[in-house]
Amino acid sequence: MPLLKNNINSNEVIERTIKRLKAIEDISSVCSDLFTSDLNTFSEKVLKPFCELTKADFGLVFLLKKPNDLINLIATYGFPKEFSDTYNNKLQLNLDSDDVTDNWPTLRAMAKKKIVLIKDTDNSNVGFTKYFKDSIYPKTIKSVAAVPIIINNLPVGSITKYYTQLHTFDDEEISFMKTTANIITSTIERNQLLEETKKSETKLSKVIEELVEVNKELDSFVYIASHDLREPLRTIESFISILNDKANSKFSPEEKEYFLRIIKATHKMRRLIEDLASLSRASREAIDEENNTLDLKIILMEVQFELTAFIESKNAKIIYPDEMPKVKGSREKITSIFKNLISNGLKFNKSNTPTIKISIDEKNSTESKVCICFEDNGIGIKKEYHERIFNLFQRLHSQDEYEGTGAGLAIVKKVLEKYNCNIWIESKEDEGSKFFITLPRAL
Amino acid sequence: MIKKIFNFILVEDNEDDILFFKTALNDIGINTKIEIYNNGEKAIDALNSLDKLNLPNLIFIDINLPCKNGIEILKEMKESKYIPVIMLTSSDSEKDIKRCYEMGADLYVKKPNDISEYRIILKQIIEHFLIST
Repeated sequence: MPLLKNNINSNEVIERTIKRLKAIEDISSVCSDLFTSDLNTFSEKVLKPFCELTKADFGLVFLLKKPNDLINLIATYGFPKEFSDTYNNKLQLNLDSDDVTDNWPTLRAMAKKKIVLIKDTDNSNVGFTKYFKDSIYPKTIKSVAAVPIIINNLPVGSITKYYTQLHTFDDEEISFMKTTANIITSTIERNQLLEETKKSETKLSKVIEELVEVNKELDSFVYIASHDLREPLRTIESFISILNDKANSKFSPEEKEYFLRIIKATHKMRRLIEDLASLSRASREAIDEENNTLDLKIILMEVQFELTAFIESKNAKIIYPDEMPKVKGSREKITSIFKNLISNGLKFNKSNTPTIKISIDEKNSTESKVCICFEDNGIGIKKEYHERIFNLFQRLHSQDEYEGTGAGLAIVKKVLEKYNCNIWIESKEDEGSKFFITLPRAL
Repeated sequence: MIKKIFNFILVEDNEDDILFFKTALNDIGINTKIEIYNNGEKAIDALNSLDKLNLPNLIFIDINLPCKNGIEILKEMKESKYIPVIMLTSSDSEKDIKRCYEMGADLYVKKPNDISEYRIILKQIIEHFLIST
């Protein structure tokens, strides 16, 4: 009855395939758990279905724990507990020794980077008995299969099974063994990758922590510097005023000139220290201190009023739309940002009618942020300075050309950063500038 | 014109500020006697040991002082006697200003760093608190 025989055969094949797939599934699920267990536990869990599926009597997993290290026995199957306790993580072998690779099928597989199949140990040239049968576990081994685990073309371990009876390895079984080795390989690779990621994450968060700390120190340095420098400066100013009051008339023209220079330098120092103090205030004060809804149109009108004398002296024009959005923030801070940007646009301007055009930039606005553009017809800024202008005390011109300490934009930027907002520039030399800022939208 | 001698107490620890204060006061040309204390304890002890007839006409207190700060001194002085107290400080923090007036300060003055401004301020203080009454 060939048909029935065929049927039985195909049933067997199906059953075997199902078992094999089940074993692969088991192995895979163990692999996905690797992150929560150590390499030893993992290897034992893989080794079990690997051996059970084809009814092997014993199994071993060897792994290289570190590159260029010795090979460690890390998992066993079918051995008595004493054996595992004695040799797990303690049995270390050197792949470079011919003696070892000749005598251990498992290491031979690694050394040759190929599967090693021994159908009958009595007829094998791998001198296997010497170690395994006699010294480690005195049982007669008839058949052995060892599969190497290879990562980046380097052998990092092997998985081996042993039979006390003669065993024939068919293609299906060999392919299953290879699949198991591949799963182990990808798991170890994934694990290594994860470890590396973790390491760099730790490193990164440490660097961030350090940066935050340094930043804090810098902020408090700026505070202390601006605060403590005020005191002696005030004293200098006080006694200069006494000298000016009581002795100036007695000074020779030369002495008057020296004295004037002292006064000018003191004024400059006062401006620098006050700017430093504003910067420090901007970085120290919490923004939720004041969180009013502000009408930008009113802010603009106020700034325009405050700058009236300057605007008239420059014959300048400030243009803004009738309708301006409402934003959230501190009145004082938002006003100072507007004042700063507008007076910059007027100051760095050689046009006969300096003009600042303020508009809403819809393209860069979002649901939570309003983007405002300050466009001027001033002297413009070369691209290479577009970042640097936001640095503290960064000036692009001499004092004779344009007055100022160069702290204005640094303070503006600092305040905006506190609101999680931005400032940036689009400009070319001689073609005017566009400053863009975002502000929290009042909902 | 004004023959009377005024007695002032100045609680101040900064030598420069003391000299600047004295110079400005001296410039006004009013006859004054200034007792200077560089900390609050001493000033309060001195004040408590004085009899009614010898009390100072005005007290000037700096805020930023070692040990007890100026606001604490102000509070203690106001608890015992009525003498006009002028807070004289380099701080212009809103919090300090509010606190000083709450504690009974009669005036809060930010220390000027210009001598002519200082003269005007001191002159007005004296006229307001001493001469008009």
